[in-house]
Amino acid sequence: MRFQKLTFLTLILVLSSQLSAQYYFGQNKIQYTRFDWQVLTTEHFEIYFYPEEKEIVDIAAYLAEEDFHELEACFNHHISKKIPLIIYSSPSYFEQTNVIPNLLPENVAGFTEFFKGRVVVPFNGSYDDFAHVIRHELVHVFTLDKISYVTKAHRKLRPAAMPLWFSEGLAEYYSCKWDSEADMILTDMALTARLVNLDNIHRISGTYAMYKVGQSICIFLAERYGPEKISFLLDNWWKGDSFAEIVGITYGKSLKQLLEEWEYAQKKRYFPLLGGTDLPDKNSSQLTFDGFNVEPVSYERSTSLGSKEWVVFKANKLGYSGIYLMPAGGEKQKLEMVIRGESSAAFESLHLLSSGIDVSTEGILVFASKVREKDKFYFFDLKRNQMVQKVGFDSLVSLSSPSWSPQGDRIVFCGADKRGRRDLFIYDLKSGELSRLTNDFYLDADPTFSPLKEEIVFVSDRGDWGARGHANLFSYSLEAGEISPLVVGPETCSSPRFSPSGQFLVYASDRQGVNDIYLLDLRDPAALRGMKLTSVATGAFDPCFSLSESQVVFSSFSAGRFQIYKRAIELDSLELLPHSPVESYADWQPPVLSGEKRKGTVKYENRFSLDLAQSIIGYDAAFGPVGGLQVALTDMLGDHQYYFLLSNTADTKKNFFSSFNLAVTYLNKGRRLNWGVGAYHFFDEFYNDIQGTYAHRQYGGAGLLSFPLSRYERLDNSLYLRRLEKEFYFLEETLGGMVTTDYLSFVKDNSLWDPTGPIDGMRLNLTVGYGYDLSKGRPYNRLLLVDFRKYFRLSKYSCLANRMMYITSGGIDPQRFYLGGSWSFRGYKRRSFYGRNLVLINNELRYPLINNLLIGFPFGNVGFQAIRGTLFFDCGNAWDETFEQLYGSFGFGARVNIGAFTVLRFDFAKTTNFRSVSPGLNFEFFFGWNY
Amino acid sequence: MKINSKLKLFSLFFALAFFSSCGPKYPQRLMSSYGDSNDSPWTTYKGNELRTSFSSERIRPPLGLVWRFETSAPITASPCIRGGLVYFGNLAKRLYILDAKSGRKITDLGLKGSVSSSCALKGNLLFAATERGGDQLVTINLKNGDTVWRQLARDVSTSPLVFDDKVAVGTGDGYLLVFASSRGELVWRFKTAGGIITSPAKGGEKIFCGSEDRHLYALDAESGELRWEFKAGGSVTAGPTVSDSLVFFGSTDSCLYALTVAGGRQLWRLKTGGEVFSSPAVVGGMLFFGSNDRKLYAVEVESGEVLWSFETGSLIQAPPLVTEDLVLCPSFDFHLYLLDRQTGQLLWKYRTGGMLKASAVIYDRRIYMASSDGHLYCLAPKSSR
Repeated sequence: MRFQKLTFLTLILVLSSQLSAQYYFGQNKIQYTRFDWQVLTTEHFEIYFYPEEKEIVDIAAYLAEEDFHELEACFNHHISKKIPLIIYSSPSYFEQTNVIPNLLPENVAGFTEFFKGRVVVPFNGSYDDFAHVIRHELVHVFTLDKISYVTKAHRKLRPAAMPLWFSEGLAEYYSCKWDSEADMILTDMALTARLVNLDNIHRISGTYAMYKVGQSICIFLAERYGPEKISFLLDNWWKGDSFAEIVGITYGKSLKQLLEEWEYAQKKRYFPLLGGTDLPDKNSSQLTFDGFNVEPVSYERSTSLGSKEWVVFKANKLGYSGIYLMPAGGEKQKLEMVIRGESSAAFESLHLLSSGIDVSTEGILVFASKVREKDKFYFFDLKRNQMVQKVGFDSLVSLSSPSWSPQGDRIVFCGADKRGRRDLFIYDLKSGELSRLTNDFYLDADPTFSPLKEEIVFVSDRGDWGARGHANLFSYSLEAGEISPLVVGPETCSSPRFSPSGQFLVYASDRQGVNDIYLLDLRDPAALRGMKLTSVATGAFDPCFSLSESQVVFSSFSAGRFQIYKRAIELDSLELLPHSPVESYADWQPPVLSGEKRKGTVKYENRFSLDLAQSIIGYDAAFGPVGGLQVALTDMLGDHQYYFLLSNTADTKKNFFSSFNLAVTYLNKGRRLNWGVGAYHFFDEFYNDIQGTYAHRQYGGAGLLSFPLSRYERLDNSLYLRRLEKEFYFLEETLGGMVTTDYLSFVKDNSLWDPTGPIDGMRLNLTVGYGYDLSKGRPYNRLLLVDFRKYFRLSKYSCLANRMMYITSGGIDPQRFYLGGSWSFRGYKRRSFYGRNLVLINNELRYPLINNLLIGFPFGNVGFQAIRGTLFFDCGNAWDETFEQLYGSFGFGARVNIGAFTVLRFDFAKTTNFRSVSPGLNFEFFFGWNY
Repeated sequence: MKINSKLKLFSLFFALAFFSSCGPKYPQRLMSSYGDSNDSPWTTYKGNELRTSFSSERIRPPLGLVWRFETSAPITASPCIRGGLVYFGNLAKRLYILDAKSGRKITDLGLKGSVSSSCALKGNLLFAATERGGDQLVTINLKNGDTVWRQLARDVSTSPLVFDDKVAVGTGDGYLLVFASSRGELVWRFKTAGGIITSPAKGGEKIFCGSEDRHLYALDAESGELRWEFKAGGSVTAGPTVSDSLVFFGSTDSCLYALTVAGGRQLWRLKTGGEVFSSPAVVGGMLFFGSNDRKLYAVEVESGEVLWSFETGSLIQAPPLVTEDLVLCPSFDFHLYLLDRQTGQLLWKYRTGGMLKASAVIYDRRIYMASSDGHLYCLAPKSSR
């Protein structure tokens, strides 16, 4: 199933600070590849590319320039400055971009960063997808620029925020046609009574459904009120304080009214579908019931009880993707996980929605997974339950959809090379030889071996219809080395599979407007017969035959999820469809930008510009708490970053100049080993329970290194050389010297998060530090920190979360730590315990409390989702010299995510010294993620 | 009276005199020194109530910049010029009066809302309309700067039409309002089903106004009675312009329409490659207008046949200005283009710092061009500077 689940994100560049070295936990974005960047200048763009992308950069330039002119007219707006467009030839390379610091989920197909207006898109092998994503992102550029112009021109200081569903819906509206996938989403929503309205549209925020609902609403508004009104809406942006108000001004009706009209229009459109089609569970047997389940493959499993038919499939049931096994009767009978993905470097991504799997007659499962920089194929013996082989190819960046030959000695698959071309390859397991079958611009995917002859059927966008965005079926003769059209027309086909006997072929197609399963009867090659197997209201994908060929197993979309179904094949009762044989197909070439419109290409040079200015608060192992105004300068690709921090802690005029806190840091993130250097001066006054109030001044330099071992593990090293001066007011003594300190950390993080914090996986930070006073020639201090957190998943929304932390510091000037409060030791006030040694154990049961809470106010409704409950038991202590005893606390609480990065915390706890329990219940309200 | 009381009185008088002298004073004396030295003033949007956008002045390129006046916000409407003074507003709610020769500011007045349309002049009166937030049609006495009257007119982005003893304006909430120009009482009003974003025109006894409800309306100028209406394929976003027996307007259906004034019968319709926001200019049997397809079209009035077209670098939404031999075409690509009226050949162009959303005005052999970069430009033939 090639579900084009494209999730585009308009991301604000969050200045999330420096290297991973500054992060306590976190996963790693790794720059495996060095690119030789060039810049192509066109009339309206600066296009950043590397030489391997030579084939697609002129295509991108053409598409961008065409889009620019069309979008100018849509928005009635001209953008004068050149738009930076950064392209990558593969999603794997795209994930390495430093334009934004965030890790990019696999289903992100492009983004626009609004501070510098950078558009970053990958090429996934499909020209149609490429055209779509470039245009989608340019809509964001125009939207942001237009609103900025209109609001600045009218001196509107705080423009209204645009809801994400409208922003993405608008981008989809202007960049793609309404297609079968979009229809699938809305059909499902309408027929399963899940259409959104103004009160609950936030529930689909960030999902693919949000894009399609937004697009549907824009289409409705354009059809009902005129397409020009959408442009007028942006012209009117300065006239209102909220999106709803601006809509009211433009359309003369309230937003609520318009959405109600839209909702009614969807019901009118989709309800009648049930007259001729059904939801998948109404005429097929449902095999899975939870999560996203796709790509089923039948195979025969021998057990002590005999041979039975089982189904292998891919799924995401609890947040991590995986490969599962279930009997042909469904997962309610039994469900086994074969491979767990996304939690280790070996299976960083199983490409849930973009790559099929296959099982040979010998029971060897083959699947693709991302392993560090590139994809590899894994061969897993289902009988012996062990991995037998792993193979990757230097010339290929990504691999997908392997299919076994009938003999089980070869696999045919789709591979993408560094140029971005996606072609067919055959790998011979015995000889280890890799053969390339196709080598052209067209996207060739989903190959399947014929059991009867040396032939492969595959999906491709070659041919006339491919030029119009469709993907048809073709066959490749291994003997002749020739390609012939098999099923061509104005339809998008996917996932062809032969029956075990080779007499039939099933595939998915939207030829009648909805994705359904079709069967091609190959018994008479001179007169192929086509039949329609399913008539599903939403969409059916990934068909495969049962071993007996009497049933088809497939995935289908229902209630917002993909589930697996099976259905009997009754040939005699199937509707015959016209199948006209096609002898040949015409080549097509995408248009490219040429001539005077190409202004020239130069080598990329670092040009720094302001990235963001903000005030920040953070904590550093060496510096302690830091805060102030932070300004960042970065180059266009984000590989080189300068940070400037400035604040002042003076409390009198006299020490104003001596109380400046300054820091300058340079970070280089262009390679796998990230490094940085900095210089700083910090001064402030502090207080602790042991030494009282003291002034602390330090100035010097720092060197930073961060080496990611994988997405989940890294080594960090920070080296400081600084002058330290501590003046203890009450002790009337000073401490200081020229101190060098080195911190070495090992960090591992494969945690999975829900709205309030981690819910699965683990996190570990192991740090050792050693300081030496160079001026006096003596050890200064030392540090050992172990922070281990493990989350034992109990169900979809619940887990048992454990944290074990031990810190010890020693030396002349040891570090000391506070314990207490909602973030560490609940039930106790924030600075209840203090010392240079600390032990803390947290145990917490996290469970769902309230899924949706809607509170009505006079000004409107306020909704909260995913309110989580906790039951906890903590114990620990902090001490300086002598450990006396452990203290404990227990209680319950609630967590509410109120949007973006803010989680409210409510805790009720009793404390104990393990001899008695406090009489009262301590309440604390605070904010912050769960540990 | 005791001395300290006299002192108090003097202090009070002094304070009053001092504070009253603070703040901008209307330069009455200076204003009155300007007179009608030019016999072709430009006192309204597109030059006249027919909105033909024709100037009888002659001007030849190449031109050079004489002066450039900076304001703090985009200027999206063409100025009015009369008696050596330039009048225009900007989106920062200011109304400016400049010396046309030197570009020196004579005065500026604060209004309650953004001014996105041209003002109109009649006698000593200046009529200016403001957008949302101001929601007014205001009349100012140019002799003393006083507000003569102001009336509620919601969210106006259209230029006032002064005719007979009345002034008409189209509003964002769909009304065509007609007031008595001297005292401001409402004479009549007409409601359409959508916002009015194009300036009304008058031809004969009729007033024409277009609406976002996709209709062009012909109303009796005296009574406001509907004479006829015509439904287009999209919102009416350009024009109307009246010439002889025809009225022209553009729409978001990418078409320019020609209708008969008498009955609103469609004579022809010309489809372009983009929505039409550029109000046409008409002279000598030729009509000129721009489109969102970046082209300026020259069309034969009677047949609608395209005689020539010229492509710029971006959208054309401002009305062109036509002289005997030139067409001045402002574009969103920041340029003002001077083309040969007969052939469409490019003769000269000038780049400003922002999108050009207003038409140029020629006065006393100089071109005045407002830009969304916040500047008003004055250009003159190089030989004459």
